[in-house]
Amino acid sequence: MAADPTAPNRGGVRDVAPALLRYRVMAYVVGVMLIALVLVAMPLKYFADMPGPVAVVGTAHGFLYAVYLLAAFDLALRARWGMLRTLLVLLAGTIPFLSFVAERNVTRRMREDGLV
Amino acid sequence: MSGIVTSAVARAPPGPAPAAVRVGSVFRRLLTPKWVLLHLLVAVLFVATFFLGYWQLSKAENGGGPVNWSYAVQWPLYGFMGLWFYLRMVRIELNRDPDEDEPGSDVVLYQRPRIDTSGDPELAAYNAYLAELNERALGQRNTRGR
Repeated sequence: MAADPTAPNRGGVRDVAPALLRYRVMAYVVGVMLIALVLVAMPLKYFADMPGPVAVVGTAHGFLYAVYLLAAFDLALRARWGMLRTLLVLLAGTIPFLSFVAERNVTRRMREDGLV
Repeated sequence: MSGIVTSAVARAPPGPAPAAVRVGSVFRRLLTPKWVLLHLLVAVLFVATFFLGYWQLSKAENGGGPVNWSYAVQWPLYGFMGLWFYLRMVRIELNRDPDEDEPGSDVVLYQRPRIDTSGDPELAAYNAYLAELNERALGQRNTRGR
């Protein structure tokens, strides 16, 4: 059903392509920040006693993850994902490297379903 | 039973919507077990974010770093975002076309019967004839377009 690109635009909740682009951008940004946080900032804090990078990157990641959630949830509504799938994609943004996998997975599925 | 009636009325050609038929039933959509669970979950998590924010605030005030200050802001922010997500889901559910979850939303003029016709060639032939009629009718409908 959700795969039907000719489905009527009920309540204006469609327009998947721009939503997918927003989601992808945010998935990359959050994914890169998370890796910087885990692989660079955290070792600096715990092994080199430099708490500065964690404070900066951690805070920035916290706010950017909020933007990521907005983009991902918006896409979930437009593409009419189920609750479980939505939840998994939202959570994927919190796990290093998995956000990239999730982003590729989502993009591929959207293309397969003919939504973009 | 009433679903079929609602569906039939709602499928009438565009014009003034038979609002009276839908009133009441729209909000009942939010009372399915899945939705009730979601209502409770959202309520609990929304309240929880304030406790978590308060916890970080007290940590920040007791000599915590800038990270605690930002978390103190971020927890309620996440709470309000979750609430907003939830409200959007509710709005979409309420505005959803009632036909979507009715089996009758796809036009089925003929449904393959669950009767064993292997022992009755006459019945099998009749069923095949009906199927062909259905195929033809659907084909015409598709070429005409919507």
